[in-house]
Amino acid sequence: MSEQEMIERYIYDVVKRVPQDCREEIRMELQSLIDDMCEQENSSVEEVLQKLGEPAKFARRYRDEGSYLIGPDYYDDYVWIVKIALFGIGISALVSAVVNGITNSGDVINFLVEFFGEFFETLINGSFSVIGTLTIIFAIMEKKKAKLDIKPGKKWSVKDLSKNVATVNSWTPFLLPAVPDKRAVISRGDSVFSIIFTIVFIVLLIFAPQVFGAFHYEGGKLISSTCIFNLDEWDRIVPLFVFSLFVGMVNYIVRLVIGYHCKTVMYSTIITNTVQIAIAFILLNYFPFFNVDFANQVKSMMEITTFSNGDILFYWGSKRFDNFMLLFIVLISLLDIGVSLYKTLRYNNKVDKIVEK
Amino acid sequence: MEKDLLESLLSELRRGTLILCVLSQLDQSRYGYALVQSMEEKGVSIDPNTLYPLLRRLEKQGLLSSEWDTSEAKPRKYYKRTEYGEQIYEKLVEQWKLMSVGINELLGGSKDE
Repeated sequence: MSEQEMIERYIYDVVKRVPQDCREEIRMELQSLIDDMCEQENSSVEEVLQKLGEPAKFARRYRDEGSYLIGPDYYDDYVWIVKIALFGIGISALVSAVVNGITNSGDVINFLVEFFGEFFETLINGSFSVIGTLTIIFAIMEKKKAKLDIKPGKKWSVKDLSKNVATVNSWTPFLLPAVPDKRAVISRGDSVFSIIFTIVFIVLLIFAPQVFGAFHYEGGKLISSTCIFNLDEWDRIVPLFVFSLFVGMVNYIVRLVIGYHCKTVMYSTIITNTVQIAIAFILLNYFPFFNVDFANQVKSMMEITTFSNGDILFYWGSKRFDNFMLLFIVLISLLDIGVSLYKTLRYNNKVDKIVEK
Repeated sequence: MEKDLLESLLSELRRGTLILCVLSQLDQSRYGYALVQSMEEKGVSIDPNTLYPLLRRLEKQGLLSSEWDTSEAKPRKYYKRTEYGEQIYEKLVEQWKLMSVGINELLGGSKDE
């Protein structure tokens, strides 16, 4: 490699890592810097470049500091939630692998092939999509926070130098977040369980919806199976359904990170439940969400002609059944909102008032 | 291990004062490498890979202005303090003097207590 080429390579390696708009200038500056150093220090190009150090490190100093995808404030929570998510995916991969193995196998070898095939497929696909989504959620939180951080600070001026440093910063002890009332604390265990449960549910709905169904065995062999969901329309149902669960999961993550009932959690809960009711309404009214034939298929599996009217399957497929499901979802949602409203207003209201003073 | 720690503590100590040193030399136009040399002559060494990015940052903050001289064979970017940079520099010097008095007191003054 000639000396000129070595210089070119070095400059290229630095310049490609700095923002587009200052590349040309930095290239010119580096070129004359290296020339000067060689001339005046009587050094070889190799020695000079050695002294300037690794291009990546050099370039890093040119970039603005403090630009994180996920900064130190959220990093621990992020890592923690990713671990929980991976755990959840592991469970769902296992469940769908077992179900897939049982429903598709004839002998042991076939079972193992189906089992491991499904296991790794779900594990890999699930991990990528869930970690990707979590990263996006946290990156957005980081960006929003960066904006919030910048907002209250006023522009620094020379005059501030002679003043007490503390006055430059607009933080005051009144901004301290309250120590939450014990009764307003949201159990981490509950949130974690909900997140894992939601992930397992989402992964299964996407990769193995047939898990939710009835299976008919005779002498250890699967004779027939039927799914409670309307798999004919599944491609159109699943995005909405998963979106609804996903909104729920974001809500649980907010709860986990914040850790107690406060206005943020309250708004998040209200929005989440409203979205979920709306989606449930659409799913139950505009699609046959459930498999209309499920009850009949179960009947033929069980070799009976009718269900008693105490049995939920007696009402399967009727408008009454869908309305009952919707009512059930609305009640659960209202209860969730009610609890959050009560705990926020009852235990956290006085805290907000101190801040206002 | 111990040497690394000392190195990193020293560079941390130096880092805070670099801006003051750089600003002090830019009452007249200088280009990057000339600045490295003039600081070195006075016993304050600075690596070009620290100085060059720093100069750009100070320019972005409005403390320095720059101009390219392309009349020579080698094109060079000359930096100089702006009026705003001048004000900041004076305040920094004032603070530095106060601080060094205080620190000297601390380092040599323990017997007074």
